[in-house]
Amino acid sequence: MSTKNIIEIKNLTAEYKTPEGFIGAVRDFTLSIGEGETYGLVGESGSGKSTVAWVIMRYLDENGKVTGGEVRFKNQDLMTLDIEDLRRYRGRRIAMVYQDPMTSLNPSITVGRQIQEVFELHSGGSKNETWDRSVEMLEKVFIVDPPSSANKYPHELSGGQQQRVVIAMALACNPDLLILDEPTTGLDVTTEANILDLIEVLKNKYNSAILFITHNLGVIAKVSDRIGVMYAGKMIEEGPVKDIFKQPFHPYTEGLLNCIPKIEEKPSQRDLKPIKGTLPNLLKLPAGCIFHPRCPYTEESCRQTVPHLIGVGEERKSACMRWEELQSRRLVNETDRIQVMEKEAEAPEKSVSVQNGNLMHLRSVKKYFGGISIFERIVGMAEDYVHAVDDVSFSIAPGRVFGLVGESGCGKSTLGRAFIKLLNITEGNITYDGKDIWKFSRKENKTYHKDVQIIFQNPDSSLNPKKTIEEILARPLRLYRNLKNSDLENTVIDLLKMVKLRAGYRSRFPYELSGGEKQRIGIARAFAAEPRFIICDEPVSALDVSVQASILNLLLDLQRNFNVALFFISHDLSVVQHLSYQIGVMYLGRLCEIGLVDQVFSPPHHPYTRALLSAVPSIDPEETREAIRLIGPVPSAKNPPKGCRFHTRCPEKIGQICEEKDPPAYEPVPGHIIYCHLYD
Amino acid sequence: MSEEFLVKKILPEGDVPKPPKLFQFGRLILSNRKFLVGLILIIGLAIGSSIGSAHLPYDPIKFNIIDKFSNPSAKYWFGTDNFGRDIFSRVVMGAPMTMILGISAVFITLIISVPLGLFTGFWGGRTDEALMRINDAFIAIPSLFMALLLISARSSLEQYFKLPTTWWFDPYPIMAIGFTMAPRATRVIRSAAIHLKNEEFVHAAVARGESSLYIVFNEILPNVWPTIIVEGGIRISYAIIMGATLSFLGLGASPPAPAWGLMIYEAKNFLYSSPWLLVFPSIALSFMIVSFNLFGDGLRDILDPRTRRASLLE
Repeated sequence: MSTKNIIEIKNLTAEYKTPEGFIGAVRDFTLSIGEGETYGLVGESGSGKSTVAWVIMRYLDENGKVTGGEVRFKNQDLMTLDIEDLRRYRGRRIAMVYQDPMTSLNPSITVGRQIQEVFELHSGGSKNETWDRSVEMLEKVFIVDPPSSANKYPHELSGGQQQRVVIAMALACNPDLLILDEPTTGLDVTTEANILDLIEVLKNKYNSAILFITHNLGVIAKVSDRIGVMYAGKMIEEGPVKDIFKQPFHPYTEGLLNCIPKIEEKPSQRDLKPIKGTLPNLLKLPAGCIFHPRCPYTEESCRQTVPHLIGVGEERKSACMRWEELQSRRLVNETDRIQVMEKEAEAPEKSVSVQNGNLMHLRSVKKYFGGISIFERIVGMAEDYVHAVDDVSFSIAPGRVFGLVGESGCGKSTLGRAFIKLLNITEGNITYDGKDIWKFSRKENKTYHKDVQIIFQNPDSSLNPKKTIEEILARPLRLYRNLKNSDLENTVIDLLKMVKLRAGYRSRFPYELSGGEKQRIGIARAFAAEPRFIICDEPVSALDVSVQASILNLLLDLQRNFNVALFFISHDLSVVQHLSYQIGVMYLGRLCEIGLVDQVFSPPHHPYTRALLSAVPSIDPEETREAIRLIGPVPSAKNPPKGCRFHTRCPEKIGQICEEKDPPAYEPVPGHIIYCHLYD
Repeated sequence: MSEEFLVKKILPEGDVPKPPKLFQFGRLILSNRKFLVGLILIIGLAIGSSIGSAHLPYDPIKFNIIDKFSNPSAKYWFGTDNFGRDIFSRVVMGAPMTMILGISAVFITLIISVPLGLFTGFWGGRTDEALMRINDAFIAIPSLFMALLLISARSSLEQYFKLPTTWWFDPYPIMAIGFTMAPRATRVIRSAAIHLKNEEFVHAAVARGESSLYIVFNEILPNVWPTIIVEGGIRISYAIIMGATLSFLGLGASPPAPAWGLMIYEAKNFLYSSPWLLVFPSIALSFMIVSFNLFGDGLRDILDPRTRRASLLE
């Protein structure tokens, strides 16, 4: 790694003009990346990390302006380049990869042509030459069958393949600096693992400097050499990734590392340590250290002075003025913590028996979407259903958390909605307290709607923007519990207190609340009905990392207090492992494995479960987990593979039997079922 | 670079300082020039015409044959028509008539199209398909034709029940115009409902087992108001034009009512005697239509969902 810096940013300040005032999105920001180095920029929403990328590309929105500092690319001041020079830099010497490949690619031009355009623009050559080079690029990013893939349109490729194409376009001209802005956030865990592997490989081949921006600490740990942590527009810590993760020198970094659930072989159900408070409003920044309102170690001096980024060791920087003092304090706490953990480990193991008297049973449930019209059937076209849920059977135990895990398109959300009668099922039955939910009388139906509630994923759209919080919470109380007047009012206040919000919130509208606060209202609304069963459809996926932990803790708390069964749907394995008693793993509409948390997360595994576990990027940079990668595209739910659904991508496929016969249920221990031929 | 310029007062956690709603509403309104101009003009028209109608210089129906076809002068500000009636008084008198016609017609349109559009959009499926095909059939008929058709039923309708009719309020053209505009408005409101149908808070309501009635009026309607208001604002201009056309064709107001459309109709025979019979009612009509257009357009800009501010207005 040479010390010649490819990009140097010094004291950069960038602002956005909004109707409410100027927002300092990036303030006094300094960064440099050397040749061949991968720098990870970590931060949550509003931290300013994307703004940094756009400043480098000089692509700020109309209302954005650089008001201070400088950005030098190989000693050339980027801010003073004129349009012509800028064009020569963009794409050729600095390239960028964005989050959503579907919108980064032009849907009406073939992918080969899009890569070809990059060559035509920057390096010239005849049509045939540039075409050959773009096919070559596709090969370099490991796209299957490059010559014919080059003639495909973006929508004909999967998300992972699209992102590879975008990466190919970015690397086409061998840029000196490659910027990746959340490139894997929109992808499934297994696809993400493949893309990260790809970036590893390309790093060695291309020797570009890489600026990798993400909020996912696990991903950062995997790809970066050095990282910088941003909070509310400022860089608050910087240094080599292994050192920082082993021993952070800023309370925010420490908080982030603590509030993320980790995948472990024997999960403990210790509460996550969330960072209290919420991200600051960039228009009303706290005085002194911007992190002090949420810092567990805050003191008067933190409120008075604004700390600057100072060198704190070998190549490390921190913006905490009291880092030395806190270091010694932490070492002391560390020993305490280890003792506490040992004590917990001695606690009696959770009972393994699965309770009888289950709340709900699903038997051979199928949900198909679509299908063809009568006309098409007459003409002779083949049946065209989307097999969203294809023969699923299991039971929900009362008062326990059932986690359903799977990647996008596996049918988990569909199943959740079927429970709540938002969708009806094509075949099979779902029974509640012994009765089929679609055969209820009106009274039973009303009881069912009261007993079964749902918490949605997106806090922004799950609350009616025209209603006050009071109205939103009062509705289920009026509807299910017939509360009126002062009873109603008091219960609303109780509900708010239950989710740790002040009573004053009831006169507010949803747009006046933060994402985390809105999700708390969603939770309050679900618990307002005094349900027995709550479907949680990815409730924390849309929230920032530091907020997720507090929401998960709240959910667990309430679940335990009210003894409510939860059906927790998520694609995030670590979250599901942390919360659940029982877990189900779904793939393409079918269950692969189901059992208690400890059983599923320790061997024997279904091959898909094993691949999922190895794909989750760990925040422990020292950890070596066996890397299992799934190769091949996810089959379409319209035409699922015969036999075992997973056989097209299974690294442990036995042979023909996997293609022909449905996998049998193997039950190593009562309650733990694996659907696989391996254990026949 | 210091951070002082960004530091504001520290507030207790979670409190958002809110300037009073009215203040923000006022700021919003002032920010859009089109809307302001339109609003001022309409208010001016309303006030001017109501005050003016109470203090007319001359009786708008009274003949002054001696002074017929006189040019604008100090005596007769807009001149006189073929019967010697003061054009100014007639124009001023016509203003409230026209405005009432426009607003009432839109009112009827909304009463029909809002429930219809919301329910059919929310229900979807075959009901929606069937209703929309019928709706499309109505849209296929040119508006004027439709209005003419409806108003030609007037005489037969009057046999069964007579609606109160005054010189400034004639319900038959109003109803005809209102019904004519309804199918197109239904389409617009339906598409707003379809958008909202997919919002998660609607799913939450369905999951609670709420009835369609509740969901449409309590979850969807509050979010559709901006669309409704804008739709209404724009349609007022259409209604006024149609009303004038109907009067021009002799099917709206009848003489001697000072309806502008009627005045223009009557003026066409006397163009060579005096152009003022045509000029002033036409200017007045254009002026009113432009004012309502600006108002409606400006309103649409303000309530554009892309402006986050739209959520401030309820």
